[in-house]
Amino acid sequence: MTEVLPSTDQLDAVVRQVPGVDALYPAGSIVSTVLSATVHAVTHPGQAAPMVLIEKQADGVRVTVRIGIGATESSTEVSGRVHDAIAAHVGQSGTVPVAQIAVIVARIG
Amino acid sequence: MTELTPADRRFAAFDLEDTERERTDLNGHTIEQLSEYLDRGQMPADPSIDDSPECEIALRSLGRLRLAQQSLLERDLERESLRDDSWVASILSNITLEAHAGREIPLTHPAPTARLVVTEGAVRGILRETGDRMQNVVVGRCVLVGDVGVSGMPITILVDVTVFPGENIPLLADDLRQAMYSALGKHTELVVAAIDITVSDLQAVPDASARAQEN
Repeated sequence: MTEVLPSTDQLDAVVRQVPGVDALYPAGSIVSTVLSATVHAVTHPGQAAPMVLIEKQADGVRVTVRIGIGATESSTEVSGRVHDAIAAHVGQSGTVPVAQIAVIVARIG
Repeated sequence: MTELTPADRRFAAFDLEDTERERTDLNGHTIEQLSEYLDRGQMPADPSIDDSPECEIALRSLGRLRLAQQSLLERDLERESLRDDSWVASILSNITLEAHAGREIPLTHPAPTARLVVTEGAVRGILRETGDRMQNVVVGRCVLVGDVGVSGMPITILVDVTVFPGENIPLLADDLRQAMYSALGKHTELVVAAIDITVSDLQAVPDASARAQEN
Protein backbone atom coordinates (compact mmCIF):
# COMPACT_ATOMS: atom_id res chain seq x y z
CA MET A 1 0.00 0.00 0.00
CA THR A 2 1.33 3.45 -0.88
CA GLU A 3 1.80 5.72 2.09
CA VAL A 4 0.14 9.12 1.83
CA LEU A 5 1.55 11.89 4.00
CA PRO A 6 -0.75 14.72 5.04
CA SER A 7 -0.32 17.98 3.13
CA THR A 8 1.52 20.69 5.06
CA ASP A 9 -0.53 23.38 3.31
CA GLN A 10 -3.75 21.79 4.53
CA LEU A 11 -2.36 21.31 8.03
CA ASP A 12 -1.44 25.01 8.15
CA ALA A 13 -5.06 25.84 7.39
CA VAL A 14 -6.35 23.32 9.94
CA VAL A 15 -4.20 24.84 12.71
CA ARG A 16 -5.06 28.44 11.83
CA GLN A 17 -8.77 27.60 12.10
CA VAL A 18 -8.50 26.29 15.66
CA PRO A 19 -10.21 28.75 18.05
CA GLY A 20 -7.64 30.60 20.14
CA VAL A 21 -4.77 30.34 17.65
CA ASP A 22 -3.79 33.82 16.48
CA ALA A 23 -0.40 33.09 14.90
CA LEU A 24 1.42 30.19 13.29
CA TYR A 25 5.22 30.26 13.20
CA PRO A 26 7.73 28.13 11.28
CA ALA A 27 8.23 24.95 13.26
CA GLY A 28 11.64 23.91 11.93
CA SER A 29 15.07 25.24 12.78
CA ILE A 30 16.15 28.54 11.19
CA VAL A 31 18.30 26.71 8.63
CA SER A 32 15.64 24.19 7.64
CA THR A 33 13.00 26.95 7.53
CA VAL A 34 15.10 29.08 5.15
CA LEU A 35 15.86 26.05 2.95
CA SER A 36 12.25 24.85 2.77
CA ALA A 37 10.99 28.39 2.15
CA THR A 38 13.42 28.74 -0.75
CA VAL A 39 12.39 25.42 -2.26
CA HIS A 40 8.73 26.26 -1.77
CA ALA A 41 9.16 29.66 -3.46
CA VAL A 42 10.55 27.89 -6.54
CA THR A 43 8.04 25.05 -6.62
CA HIS A 44 4.99 27.07 -5.53
CA PRO A 45 5.55 30.65 -6.70
CA GLY A 46 3.28 33.20 -5.08
CA GLN A 47 2.33 30.96 -2.16
CA ALA A 48 3.50 31.31 1.43
CA ALA A 49 5.78 28.55 2.66
CA PRO A 50 4.09 26.06 5.02
CA MET A 51 4.71 26.53 8.72
CA VAL A 52 3.86 23.05 9.99
CA LEU A 53 6.73 20.57 10.05
CA ILE A 54 6.03 16.96 9.07
CA GLU A 55 8.72 14.34 9.44
CA LYS A 56 8.39 10.72 8.37
CA GLN A 57 10.21 8.42 10.75
CA ALA A 58 10.37 4.69 11.34
CA ASP A 59 7.58 4.72 13.93
CA GLY A 60 5.29 6.96 11.91
CA VAL A 61 4.78 10.60 11.09
CA ARG A 62 5.78 13.37 13.49
CA VAL A 63 4.03 16.69 13.20
CA THR A 64 5.35 19.84 14.88
CA VAL A 65 3.59 23.22 15.06
CA ARG A 66 4.54 26.46 16.82
CA ILE A 67 1.65 28.76 17.63
CA GLY A 68 0.87 32.09 19.23
CA ILE A 69 -2.29 32.55 21.29
CA GLY A 70 -4.19 35.47 22.80
CA ALA A 71 -3.68 36.39 26.46
CA THR A 72 -7.30 35.59 27.27
CA GLU A 73 -6.98 32.03 26.00
CA SER A 74 -5.63 29.06 27.94
CA SER A 75 -2.42 27.49 26.63
CA THR A 76 -3.48 24.03 27.76
CA GLU A 77 -6.89 24.25 26.11
CA VAL A 78 -5.72 25.78 22.83
CA SER A 79 -2.75 23.43 22.41
CA GLY A 80 -5.03 20.49 23.16
CA ARG A 81 -7.50 21.66 20.52
CA VAL A 82 -4.66 22.02 18.00
CA HIS A 83 -3.47 18.49 18.75
CA ASP A 84 -6.98 17.09 18.33
CA ALA A 85 -7.56 18.98 15.06
CA ILE A 86 -4.29 17.72 13.59
CA ALA A 87 -4.96 14.16 14.78
CA ALA A 88 -8.41 14.22 13.16
CA HIS A 89 -7.07 15.66 9.90
CA VAL A 90 -4.15 13.25 9.66
CA GLY A 91 -6.44 10.36 10.49
CA GLN A 92 -8.72 11.31 7.59
CA SER A 93 -6.12 12.22 4.98
CA GLY A 94 -3.10 10.02 5.61
CA THR A 95 -2.36 6.34 5.77
CA VAL A 96 0.77 6.64 7.91
CA PRO A 97 0.50 6.11 11.66
CA VAL A 98 1.00 9.16 13.86
CA ALA A 99 3.96 8.82 16.19
CA GLN A 100 3.80 12.28 17.70
CA ILE A 101 2.00 15.60 17.40
CA ALA A 102 4.04 18.34 19.07
CA VAL A 103 2.33 21.65 19.75
CA ILE A 104 4.57 24.45 20.99
CA VAL A 105 2.96 27.58 22.41
CA ALA A 106 5.69 30.08 21.55
CA ARG A 107 3.93 33.37 22.23
CA ILE A 108 1.05 34.42 24.48
CA GLY A 109 -0.73 37.73 24.32
CA MET B 1 6.36 33.98 50.45
CA THR B 2 9.93 32.68 50.40
CA GLU B 3 12.90 34.43 51.91
CA LEU B 4 14.43 37.26 49.98
CA THR B 5 17.40 36.02 48.03
CA PRO B 6 20.68 37.96 48.05
CA ALA B 7 20.73 40.46 45.21
CA ASP B 8 24.03 39.26 43.79
CA ARG B 9 22.81 35.71 43.16
CA ARG B 10 19.12 36.26 42.58
CA PHE B 11 19.41 35.64 38.85
CA ALA B 12 22.22 33.10 38.79
CA ALA B 13 19.91 30.46 37.31
CA PHE B 14 18.90 32.66 34.40
CA ASP B 15 19.26 31.15 30.92
CA LEU B 16 22.37 29.19 31.64
CA GLU B 17 22.05 27.22 28.43
CA ASP B 18 21.94 30.25 26.18
CA THR B 19 24.89 30.78 23.91
CA GLU B 20 26.60 34.14 23.65
CA ARG B 21 24.97 34.71 20.27
CA GLU B 22 21.52 34.05 21.70
CA ARG B 23 22.20 36.57 24.42
CA THR B 24 22.73 39.38 21.95
CA ASP B 25 20.21 38.78 19.20
CA LEU B 26 16.71 37.59 18.45
CA ASN B 27 16.40 35.42 15.36
CA GLY B 28 19.38 37.31 13.93
CA HIS B 29 18.16 40.77 15.01
CA THR B 30 19.42 42.99 17.79
CA ILE B 31 17.09 44.87 20.12
CA GLU B 32 18.22 48.08 18.37
CA GLN B 33 17.11 46.73 14.98
CA LEU B 34 13.75 45.71 16.45
CA SER B 35 13.39 49.20 17.94
CA GLU B 36 14.03 50.74 14.50
CA TYR B 37 11.51 48.33 12.96
CA LEU B 38 8.97 49.53 15.51
CA ASP B 39 9.85 53.15 14.63
CA ARG B 40 9.06 52.39 10.99
CA GLY B 41 5.64 51.03 11.92
CA GLN B 42 6.91 47.51 11.12
CA MET B 43 7.09 48.48 7.46
CA PRO B 44 8.24 47.20 5.07
CA ALA B 45 7.30 43.84 6.51
CA ASP B 46 10.27 41.66 7.40
CA PRO B 47 9.27 37.97 7.58
CA SER B 48 12.37 37.11 9.61
CA ILE B 49 10.95 39.35 12.34
CA ASP B 50 7.22 38.85 11.79
CA ASP B 51 7.53 35.04 11.72
CA SER B 52 9.52 34.92 14.94
CA PRO B 53 7.60 34.61 18.23
CA GLU B 54 10.74 35.73 20.08
CA CYS B 55 10.86 38.95 18.03
CA GLU B 56 7.13 39.46 18.54
CA ILE B 57 7.48 39.11 22.32
CA ALA B 58 10.37 41.59 22.29
CA LEU B 59 8.48 44.05 20.05
CA ARG B 60 5.46 44.02 22.34
CA SER B 61 7.66 44.54 25.38
CA LEU B 62 9.40 47.41 23.62
CA GLY B 63 6.05 48.98 22.79
CA ARG B 64 4.90 48.83 26.42
CA LEU B 65 8.21 50.21 27.66
CA ARG B 66 7.88 53.16 25.29
CA LEU B 67 4.40 53.88 26.59
CA ALA B 68 5.73 53.88 30.16
CA GLN B 69 8.55 56.24 29.19
CA GLN B 70 6.10 58.52 27.42
CA SER B 71 3.90 58.60 30.49
CA LEU B 72 6.88 59.63 32.64
CA LEU B 73 7.89 62.37 30.25
CA GLU B 74 4.38 63.75 30.02
CA ARG B 75 4.40 64.14 33.81
CA ASP B 76 7.66 65.99 33.80
CA LEU B 77 8.32 67.52 30.41
CA GLU B 78 10.20 70.57 31.60
CA ARG B 79 12.72 68.56 33.56
CA GLU B 80 13.26 65.88 30.95
CA SER B 81 16.99 66.59 30.73
CA LEU B 82 17.42 65.72 34.41
CA ARG B 83 16.00 62.25 34.04
CA ASP B 84 18.38 59.33 34.37
CA ASP B 85 17.28 56.71 31.83
CA SER B 86 19.80 54.01 32.72
CA TRP B 87 16.91 51.88 33.99
CA VAL B 88 15.55 51.78 30.43
CA ALA B 89 18.83 50.39 29.12
CA SER B 90 18.72 47.70 31.79
CA ILE B 91 15.16 46.70 30.89
CA LEU B 92 16.02 46.62 27.17
CA SER B 93 18.82 44.14 27.75
CA ASN B 94 16.48 41.97 29.81
CA ILE B 95 13.82 42.02 27.10
CA THR B 96 16.38 40.54 24.69
CA LEU B 97 17.32 37.81 27.15
CA GLU B 98 13.80 36.92 28.21
CA ALA B 99 12.21 36.79 24.75
CA HIS B 100 14.27 33.73 23.82
CA ALA B 101 12.27 30.53 23.74
CA GLY B 102 14.31 28.99 26.56
CA ARG B 103 13.15 25.76 28.15
CA GLU B 104 10.00 23.83 27.28
CA ILE B 105 7.30 23.61 29.93
CA PRO B 106 5.06 20.54 29.51
CA LEU B 107 1.26 20.66 29.28
CA THR B 108 -0.78 17.52 29.79
CA HIS B 109 -3.05 15.83 27.26
CA PRO B 110 -4.58 12.35 27.45
CA ALA B 111 -3.44 11.23 23.98
CA PRO B 112 -0.18 9.23 23.93
CA THR B 113 0.83 10.95 20.69
CA ALA B 114 0.61 14.42 22.22
CA ARG B 115 3.64 16.47 23.19
CA LEU B 116 2.27 19.84 24.25
CA VAL B 117 4.57 22.53 25.62
CA VAL B 118 4.64 26.24 26.28
CA THR B 119 8.03 27.90 25.98
CA GLU B 120 9.72 29.63 28.89
CA GLY B 121 9.99 32.73 26.69
CA ALA B 122 6.23 32.79 26.16
CA VAL B 123 5.63 32.48 29.91
CA ARG B 124 8.14 35.22 30.74
CA GLY B 125 6.44 37.33 28.06
CA ILE B 126 2.98 36.98 29.57
CA LEU B 127 4.33 37.64 33.08
CA ARG B 128 6.05 40.79 31.83
CA GLU B 129 2.85 41.84 30.07
CA THR B 130 0.82 41.18 33.22
CA GLY B 131 3.07 43.51 35.18
CA ASP B 132 3.34 46.16 32.51
CA ARG B 133 -0.45 46.34 32.25
CA MET B 134 -0.63 47.52 35.85
CA GLN B 135 -0.56 51.22 36.54
CA ASN B 136 2.86 52.72 37.40
CA VAL B 137 4.84 49.49 37.10
CA VAL B 138 7.37 48.26 34.56
CA VAL B 139 8.77 44.76 34.88
CA GLY B 140 12.55 44.85 34.74
CA ARG B 141 13.37 41.17 34.92
CA CYS B 142 11.50 37.92 35.27
CA VAL B 143 13.11 34.57 36.03
CA LEU B 144 11.72 31.06 36.43
CA VAL B 145 13.93 29.26 38.96
CA GLY B 146 13.71 25.48 39.14
CA ASP B 147 13.21 22.54 36.81
CA VAL B 148 10.25 23.73 34.75
CA GLY B 149 10.58 20.71 32.46
CA VAL B 150 9.46 18.26 35.15
CA SER B 151 5.72 18.21 35.83
CA GLY B 152 4.84 18.80 39.48
CA MET B 153 8.27 20.11 40.49
CA PRO B 154 7.81 23.28 42.58
CA ILE B 155 9.47 26.35 41.11
CA THR B 156 9.94 29.96 42.18
CA ILE B 157 9.38 33.09 40.12
CA LEU B 158 11.71 36.06 40.72
CA VAL B 159 10.50 39.41 39.46
CA ASP B 160 12.25 42.79 39.48
CA VAL B 161 10.08 45.85 38.95
CA THR B 162 10.46 49.58 38.56
CA VAL B 163 7.74 51.56 40.32
CA PHE B 164 6.70 55.09 39.43
CA PRO B 165 5.44 57.71 41.90
CA GLY B 166 2.11 57.45 43.66
CA GLU B 167 1.95 53.75 44.53
CA ASN B 168 1.59 51.92 47.83
CA ILE B 169 4.33 49.39 47.20
CA PRO B 170 3.15 46.53 49.49
CA LEU B 171 -0.35 46.70 47.99
CA LEU B 172 1.03 46.91 44.49
CA ALA B 173 3.27 43.89 45.09
CA ASP B 174 0.27 41.90 46.36
CA ASP B 175 -1.80 42.86 43.31
CA LEU B 176 1.04 42.01 40.96
CA ARG B 177 1.64 38.66 42.65
CA GLN B 178 -2.05 37.72 42.37
CA ALA B 179 -2.18 38.79 38.71
CA MET B 180 0.90 36.71 37.95
CA TYR B 181 -0.47 33.65 39.78
CA SER B 182 -3.62 34.00 37.71
CA ALA B 183 -1.67 34.23 34.42
CA LEU B 184 0.49 31.24 35.36
CA GLY B 185 -2.60 29.23 36.26
CA LYS B 186 -4.17 29.97 32.90
CA HIS B 187 -1.14 29.24 30.75
CA THR B 188 0.89 26.63 32.58
CA GLU B 189 0.56 23.67 34.91
CA LEU B 190 3.55 24.80 36.93
CA VAL B 191 3.54 24.31 40.69
CA VAL B 192 4.58 27.77 41.82
CA ALA B 193 5.94 27.77 45.37
CA ALA B 194 6.47 31.53 45.45
CA ILE B 195 6.57 34.69 43.41
CA ASP B 196 9.25 36.90 44.93
CA ILE B 197 8.91 40.51 43.86
CA THR B 198 11.74 42.99 44.30
CA VAL B 199 11.21 46.69 43.73
CA SER B 200 14.64 47.39 42.33
CA ASP B 201 14.00 50.92 41.11
CA LEU B 202 11.84 53.77 42.34
CA GLN B 203 11.41 56.37 39.62
CA ALA B 204 10.73 59.50 41.64
CA VAL B 205 10.14 62.76 39.82
CA PRO B 206 13.52 64.55 39.86
CA ASP B 207 13.87 67.53 42.17
CA ALA B 208 15.07 70.23 39.76
CA SER B 209 15.73 72.88 42.41
CA ALA B 210 17.94 70.56 44.47
CA ARG B 211 19.85 69.47 41.40
CA ALA B 212 20.37 73.11 40.38
CA GLN B 213 21.78 73.92 43.83
CA GLU B 214 24.23 71.01 43.58
CA ASN B 215 25.52 72.43 40.31
